[in-house]
Amino acid sequence: MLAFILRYPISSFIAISIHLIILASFVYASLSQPEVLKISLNVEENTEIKPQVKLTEPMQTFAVDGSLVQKKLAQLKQQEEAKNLVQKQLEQQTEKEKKLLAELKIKQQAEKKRADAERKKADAEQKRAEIERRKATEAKRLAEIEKQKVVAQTKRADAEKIRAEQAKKAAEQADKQRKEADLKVAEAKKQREAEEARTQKIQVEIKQRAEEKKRLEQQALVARMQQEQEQEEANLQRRLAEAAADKRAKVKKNEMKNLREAYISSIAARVKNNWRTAARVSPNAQCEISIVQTRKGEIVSVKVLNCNDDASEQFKKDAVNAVYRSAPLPEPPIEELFERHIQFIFKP
Amino acid sequence: MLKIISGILFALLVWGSSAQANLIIEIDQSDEDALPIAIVPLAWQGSELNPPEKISEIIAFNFLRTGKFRPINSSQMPQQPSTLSEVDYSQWRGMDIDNLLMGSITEAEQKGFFNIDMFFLDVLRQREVFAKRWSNIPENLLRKVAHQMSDLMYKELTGIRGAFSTQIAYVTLHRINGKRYFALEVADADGHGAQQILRSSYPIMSPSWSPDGKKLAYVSFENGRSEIFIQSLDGSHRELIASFKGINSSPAWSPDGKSLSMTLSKDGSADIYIMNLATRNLRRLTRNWAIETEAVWASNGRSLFYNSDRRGQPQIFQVFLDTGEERRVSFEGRHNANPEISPDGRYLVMVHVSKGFNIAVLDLFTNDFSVLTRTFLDESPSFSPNGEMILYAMNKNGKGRLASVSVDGRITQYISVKSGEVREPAWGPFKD
Repeated sequence: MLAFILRYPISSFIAISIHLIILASFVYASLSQPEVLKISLNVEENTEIKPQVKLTEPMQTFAVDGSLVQKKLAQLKQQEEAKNLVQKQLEQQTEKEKKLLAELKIKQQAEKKRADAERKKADAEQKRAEIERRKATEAKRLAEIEKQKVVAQTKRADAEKIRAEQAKKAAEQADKQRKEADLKVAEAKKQREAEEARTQKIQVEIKQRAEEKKRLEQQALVARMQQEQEQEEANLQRRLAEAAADKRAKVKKNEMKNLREAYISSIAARVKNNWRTAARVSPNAQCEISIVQTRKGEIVSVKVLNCNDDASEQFKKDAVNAVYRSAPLPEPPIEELFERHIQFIFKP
Repeated sequence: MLKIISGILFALLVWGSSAQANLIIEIDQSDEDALPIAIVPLAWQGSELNPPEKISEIIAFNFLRTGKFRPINSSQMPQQPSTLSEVDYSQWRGMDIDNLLMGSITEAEQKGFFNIDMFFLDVLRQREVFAKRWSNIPENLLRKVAHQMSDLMYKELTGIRGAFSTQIAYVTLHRINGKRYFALEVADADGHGAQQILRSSYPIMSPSWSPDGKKLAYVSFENGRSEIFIQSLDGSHRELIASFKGINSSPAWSPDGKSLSMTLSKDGSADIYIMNLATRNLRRLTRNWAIETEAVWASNGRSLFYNSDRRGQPQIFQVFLDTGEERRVSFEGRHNANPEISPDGRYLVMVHVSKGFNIAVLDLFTNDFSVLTRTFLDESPSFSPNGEMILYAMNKNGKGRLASVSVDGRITQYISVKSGEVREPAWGPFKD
């Protein structure tokens, strides 16, 4: 690249220059653009134009009928004439007024000139007066200050005096007051002490009462707790007792059931034990035996029921005999198990 | 000639009836289940010191022989009441007595006649079961009263009719001065009152009771061979029924009493025949080259059981009268003979040979078979009419004796005579 430039210095220079110019022009263009915009913006701001001229009222026109209103026309003409007259008068008056106005205007202008002069004069006067007045005021003020100084001194002395008296008085008063106050204080103290004592007493009392109350409450609480505990214990005890009773009842029921079975079995066994027969009976013979007994186990009646086919008449008869032979029937292990009516299957 | 012989035999018969020789019955007290029973001696009111018959002892012996009851000794009784008011039930209860018999025997107005009152009591329920009165009973019938009372009590206690009033027939063999003779005898079931109804130097066999209990059919060899006779017990009648060529044996009365079955060999081999006693016509039941013999009637009279050796050894067969059909009944063991059917038709007893000759029973309802006896050379079983006992012949010490056994085999008793042997027993029917 460098070799190329060295070989063609002029061409390269021109090329570079052209490029630079183009570049510069781009830069310029890019930089000048916002200003144009700004200008345009300014133009836009100034374009709003308010109307300068006041609008006149529109004319009014009337349409008039020819013959019928000739009279009216005449009238109108009269009126118009009158009006014209009035207009003329008015115009004259206006003219007059215009003259007057012009005069007045001149007058006013003169007046104004004069007034200006006067006012300038007054202003100067006023300024001067002001300075004077200021001077006087200053002097007055100084005198006043002086005077005030004296007065103040006097006043101060008086005040000192008064103040001393007042102080004395105040001291006395204060002493008195102090004494009174002391007295009061003592009294108050006393009172306060008494009060305090009373208060203390009350407080003690309150405290005592509170303590008593607390104690009582405590006691009540303890009692309640104790009661609750006792209640709970009692409940527990009761539940335990109930459970135990339940269990006992169950056990007892079971026991009773077993005992009852044992009781019936003992009767059946006794009857079986007392079974005898001289007859030839089938070894498979069996019957249900229904017994009605007395408390002492003596037989009231015996029935043979539901026998199988192997049970002969003699078997039934001998079964009944076996029951009678078993009398008195065994007693129940407990009184309450006694059953007047006993039924069991008999198979010798 | 025949008439003359008959005359001689008749004379013997009359002689025999005068010679009473009671059977001796020994009871094998093996059954401990026997029920105690109190049979209180009847109160006696009479001119004599003692009553002519001890009725209570007869009854007690009857009950003892059943094997099911154990009459208590009168010396053990807490009291001996004769009227209801005298009974103290609790004392009898204390002795484990369930039933009690008591009563009285008094002389009737007519001399030699007696009045008997008896009360049968239920000690358990403390009440009278029944009471019975016999009036003007002659002395020779007092035993009968005892048997009747026994029958009533037995029926009450077991539900089964008692067989105490029945009789048995049997053949005795005696030797007098080296000469032996046979006698056909009839005695009460308790062995008392035995009477010879026939006496012969030749064997007498197979007595069979007529259903009315008034006649006996039997086999006699008096003419040198086996012949069948029918003879009335009162000695008024004797008749030769079968004297065919060959064997004439094993007579058996049909339940209706109109026919007699027998074994005859007139047609060759021994077969079963039935003779109509009114017409004397014969009907041959079996036709077989083997020996068919020892027939007995089923209780309904429609079939017969007999034995036959057609299978080589004797076995029991049954033949039906309406169809002539035959069937084998016994299958236990190689030798079964001499059948006897129980009155209710349930039990068939027979001589069964295994270790020896014993009596066995086949329950036709269940087909249960059991050997009942342990005696020696047992034969000729015969049911009591109530079916409770089986009377049979056996051999002890070389001498023929009788024995009885209960159908369940629990009770056995031995029956013998003072001198001589006894065999061929047949238990007679109920006499109504």
